[in-house]
Amino acid sequence: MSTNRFQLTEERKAHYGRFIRQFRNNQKAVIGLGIIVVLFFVAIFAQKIVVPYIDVTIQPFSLVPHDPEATNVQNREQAPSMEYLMGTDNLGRDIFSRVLAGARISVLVGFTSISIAMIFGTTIGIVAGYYQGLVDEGLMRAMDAMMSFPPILLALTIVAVMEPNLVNLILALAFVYTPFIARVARSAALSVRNESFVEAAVARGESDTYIIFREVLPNCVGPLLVQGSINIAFTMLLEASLSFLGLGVQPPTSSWGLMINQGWAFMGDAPWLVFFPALAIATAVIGFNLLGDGLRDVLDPKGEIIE
Amino acid sequence: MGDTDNPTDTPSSDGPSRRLFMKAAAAGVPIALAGCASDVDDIETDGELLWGGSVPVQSLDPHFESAAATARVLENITQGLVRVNWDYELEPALAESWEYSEDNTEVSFSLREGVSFHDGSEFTSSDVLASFERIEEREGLAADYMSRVDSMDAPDDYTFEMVLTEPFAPLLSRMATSHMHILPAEQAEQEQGAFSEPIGTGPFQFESMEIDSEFVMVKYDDYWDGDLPYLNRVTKTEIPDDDNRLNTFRSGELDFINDVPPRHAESLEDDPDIDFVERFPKSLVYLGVNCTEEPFDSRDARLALEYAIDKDEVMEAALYGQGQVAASPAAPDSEWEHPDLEPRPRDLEKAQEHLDAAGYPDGFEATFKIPQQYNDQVTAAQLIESQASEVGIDLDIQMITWSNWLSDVYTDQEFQATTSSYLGLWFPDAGFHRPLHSEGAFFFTGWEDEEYNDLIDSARLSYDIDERAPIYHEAAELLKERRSGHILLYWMPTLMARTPNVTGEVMSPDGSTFRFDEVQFE
Repeated sequence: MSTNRFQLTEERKAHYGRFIRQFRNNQKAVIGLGIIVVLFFVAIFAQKIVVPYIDVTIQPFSLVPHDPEATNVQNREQAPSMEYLMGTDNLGRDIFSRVLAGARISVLVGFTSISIAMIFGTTIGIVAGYYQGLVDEGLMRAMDAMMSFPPILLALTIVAVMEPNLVNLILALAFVYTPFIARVARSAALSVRNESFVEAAVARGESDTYIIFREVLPNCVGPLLVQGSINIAFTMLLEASLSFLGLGVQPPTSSWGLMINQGWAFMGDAPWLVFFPALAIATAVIGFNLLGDGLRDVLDPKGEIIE
Repeated sequence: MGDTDNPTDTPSSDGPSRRLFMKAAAAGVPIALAGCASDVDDIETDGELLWGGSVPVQSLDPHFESAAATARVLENITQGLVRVNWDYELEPALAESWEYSEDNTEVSFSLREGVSFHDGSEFTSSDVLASFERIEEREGLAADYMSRVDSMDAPDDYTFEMVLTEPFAPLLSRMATSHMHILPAEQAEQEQGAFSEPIGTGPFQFESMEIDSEFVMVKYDDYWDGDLPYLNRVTKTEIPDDDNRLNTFRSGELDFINDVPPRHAESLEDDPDIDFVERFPKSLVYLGVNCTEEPFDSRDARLALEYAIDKDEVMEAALYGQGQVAASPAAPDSEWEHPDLEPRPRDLEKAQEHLDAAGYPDGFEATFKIPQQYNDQVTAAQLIESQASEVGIDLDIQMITWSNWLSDVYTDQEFQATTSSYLGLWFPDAGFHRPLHSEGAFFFTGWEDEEYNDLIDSARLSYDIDERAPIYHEAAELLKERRSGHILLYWMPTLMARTPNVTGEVMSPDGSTFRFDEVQFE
């Protein structure tokens, strides 16, 4: 058995090498990853990092040229200039700084909500796919029920019923995207379940938990990564939409959606209030979409890393 | 300027009249070439005014509907016994004259003869009696004012008499609002919501309405007041989005719009193809704090917050300089306004002193609930948040819908700080009693002060302006000194735009409704 595992690891190593080579050769994936790396860099270093609850502030360096929340009414609605690269908004705040600071909200919301959705969705999907039968029926019909609502409507209802704030927004988005992840996880698990190595594990008498997490899960990672990265793009859009509707992030925190919400009225004579945050949303969404598409191309569409 | 509640006082001509001020503000707009409006000239000569409205008309029951948008159109359809003029005085409407007894507890109205309702029936004292009984018995919006009425009588068709339990000066002013307008007895016998088309005596009659979309009223041919109205038809299209409304107007599809976004005021003033009209004041915007719980149960905490706010900058940011910073809830330029009371200026040192005194030397946190549909308040709130953070007061902004504001803030008092506004403060009782007296109809901040309540109660008993005005001045000082739950921010004007061929005053002197009877096309 130990020999068997050793060989498997060797095989995996070779496989990862192949994966990286193919990824490097895939232009879409590389551009997408590049955008996301920049986005994360901006999100982390745009402003000082305040760790909640323990009150620690970290700031290695600051990317924002101005305080994104500092108002200056005398200086409002300035067109883009060298001082204010993207102009100022109706309270005289620097839009460039706010766009940079807004990256943190987008990344935070997109990443945390999809992470939560991944944990729950994957568990639900794999359990359903592995056990099949009634468990499958029960879980997947519940997921279908959740998916029968348009995502924005469901998220909007949840946030409106709870209070509109950042934590509830993340929870609502995680809830909305869980069934999407679960469906992908289930279909991957269904195909993996019939592989001979799973049958072998069953024959060895391994526990269900072992098989689910050590045999099935690693072989579903590919399609889940693809789904996850594309869904991050969707959650970022949804966050922007909810903030645009006034149900997401609350002012004065800068979020791209909220910036568009507040700049909307100025479209006619100060379009930069809307244009730059909109550009930022578009760029981030394209980044995650490219990465997702690239990953799909590189990974076997069936999600079988081990051949 | 005179006593709004004293009918025997004839319109005075001394003092700087608000009317003159308005005229000066509106004058000097040259009528230019027809320009972009030429293609709709044909429609305009029919006498149909196309109005782009900001807030949709709600239900049309004058005695029960509190929405300002409804009052704005009802002002033209139904009428009261009296109405307000530009000097904040009451003038005859359906009553030609009225007289008080010696002790001011009995009032007798001589009603106008030859007035007919839109259904053709004649207006008599029985209609007045039925309307007021409806308000009292079915608890209309003005029911608290009717509770001071001991008995009512209609001895003949054109005489109506009321006996009051005690002198009650604000009653007649209240009669000038749509909440006490007169309906025909037949309608007045019906309960709330029983009819959807109000029948009135006004210059226009209800034609049709599609909720959130369109409201139409047409000329009433047998209107009692001379040749009025000049227009045949007023069609209100509901366009709640500010910029959309303005752009639709600029494209020539509308003759008149209200609630022009303040930041466009300057460019409209300079536009020869547009007649920009500013009327003052429309509403009073304030920062309300909950005085029943921490931190704002402490006067020092309230003062600290007020000292942290630069009201001039807030007004500039929210209204682009089109408003006026407020010091008291009395209408600006009225006798009720305290002549020397100044708004509390920003002073960060004093803010810190009061924070120390309140026991929050490092500041405090408070939720700040903002009704999101009011752009000026959303902007003001963000600036206030920024200013307050400089003294360590951390306001946590939560933008909420208007219906949530009504349920959370007003009904349940689940708030620490909020912003909102009041309309129709042209008579002092509306500004001083309704929101600030602990028995007021719109009291929600929990600031209870016996001395203040007594003052306002005593003002209600007095019919003499020289006696009454100083009481309100003293009350305004008290509000500022004890820092009531309403930190007043600014007075907001009504900003309107119309095509230059539209003439005649549109604004009603109450500052929040419109009168279309004298409007015409040239």
